[in-house]
Amino acid sequence: MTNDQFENLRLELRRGCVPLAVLAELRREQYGYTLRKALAERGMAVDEGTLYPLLRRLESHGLLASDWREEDKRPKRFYHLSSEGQRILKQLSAEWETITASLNEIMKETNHGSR
Amino acid sequence: MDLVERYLNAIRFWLPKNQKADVIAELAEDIRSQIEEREKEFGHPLDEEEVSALLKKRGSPFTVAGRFLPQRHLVGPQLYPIYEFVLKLAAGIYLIPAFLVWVCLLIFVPSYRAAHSGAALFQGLGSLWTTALTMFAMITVGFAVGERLQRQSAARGDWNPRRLPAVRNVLRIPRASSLADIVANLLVLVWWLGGFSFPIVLSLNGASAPLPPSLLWRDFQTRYFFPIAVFIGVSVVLALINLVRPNLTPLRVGTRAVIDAAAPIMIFVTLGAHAEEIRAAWTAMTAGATGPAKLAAIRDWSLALTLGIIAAACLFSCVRGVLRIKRWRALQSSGRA
Repeated sequence: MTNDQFENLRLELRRGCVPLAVLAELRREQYGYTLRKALAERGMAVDEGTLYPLLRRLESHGLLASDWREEDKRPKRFYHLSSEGQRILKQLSAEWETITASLNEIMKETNHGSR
Repeated sequence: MDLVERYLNAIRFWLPKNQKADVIAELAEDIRSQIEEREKEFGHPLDEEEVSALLKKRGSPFTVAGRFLPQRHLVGPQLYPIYEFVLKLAAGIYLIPAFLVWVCLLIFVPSYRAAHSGAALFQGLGSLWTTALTMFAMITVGFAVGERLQRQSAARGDWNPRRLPAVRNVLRIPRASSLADIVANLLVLVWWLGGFSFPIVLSLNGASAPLPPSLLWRDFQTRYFFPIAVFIGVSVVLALINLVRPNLTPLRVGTRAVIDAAAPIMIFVTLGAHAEEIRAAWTAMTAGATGPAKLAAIRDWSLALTLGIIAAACLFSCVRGVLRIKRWRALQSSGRA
């Protein structure tokens, strides 16, 4: 497998996790840039071209709420989870637990099989 | 900062009207925050080159704006393979044969070459391009409409697995087709050997007069009487074998392809030898000849056109035969034949 193929699969794998990471991170109110930094610091770097359209989509689906406020004399858009977003985050977290448990089990079997 | 303004302005152009102000304000804030952080890191204000590198990393304005737009396409991934297939089919059935006819006219018809010297040589191709573009546009529009309908249908969930077409074995000739082949080829054979003839009824304004014999047809018959009789006979035998054993073999497909390849050669040699006659027939038809002369011109021109169409059909059949052999080999190697 070439590096490009690995990179494509890696991105595909991470892409599915980004909305969950964003929702989880927005349990605490933040604006776009600090959210991006917080995600990067936790090893979940998301480029701005992906993050801002995603924030809009999540907001249009009613999972996020936002408002413009001034901070350091500059207008910033602060995002936080809506009540619907909190409900979905709970469900997605449970789903995430199931997926990781299943994958761990599958990987364990694969490791046994490859020996 | 001028560079950032220009960058944001370029993004603004592509954004939907109702989102422009909001998205640009948010992106502007993000870029400013990033620049400030870099300035703290470097300990000096960013120069134009550093700002340029930072913007370049974010992507072109068109790419950035595109991420805020809904995904749209004329033909989606589900219909795209069929769309591509239809385009290839259109090219195979019309454009490639038309191009080949143009090439043959150039090679075998000196009068055509002489009449279309210099830039005029490509005038014939001009209409081909127009047809190709029209065809491409019509197919694309048709599929774009199909895409919308299919999306609506998929949303309604009205899809029935029972309505899927049966699996077709491309290497098996239906017996009905073989029977039709036998009957048709036998009729042609009997006609070719002089067993019967079609009455040619041509009249112009109610007047009919004996026509001079067609030199083109007489020459074609004389030159290729025996080979064509043999080819038709072999076709009858092939159809008989197909009737008994419907699964094709490379030998049968290859024999058919050879016959199909030979026919256009015979036709083009004859048409080439009678190019002047065909051209004269065209001139007589279009320049207002009257009476038997016009009838003879119409007959000769129609004959040449019919032979040309037969040659194109044979070429198509020959190419199809070669593709069948390739497919047969592929299936053999995968153990499915």
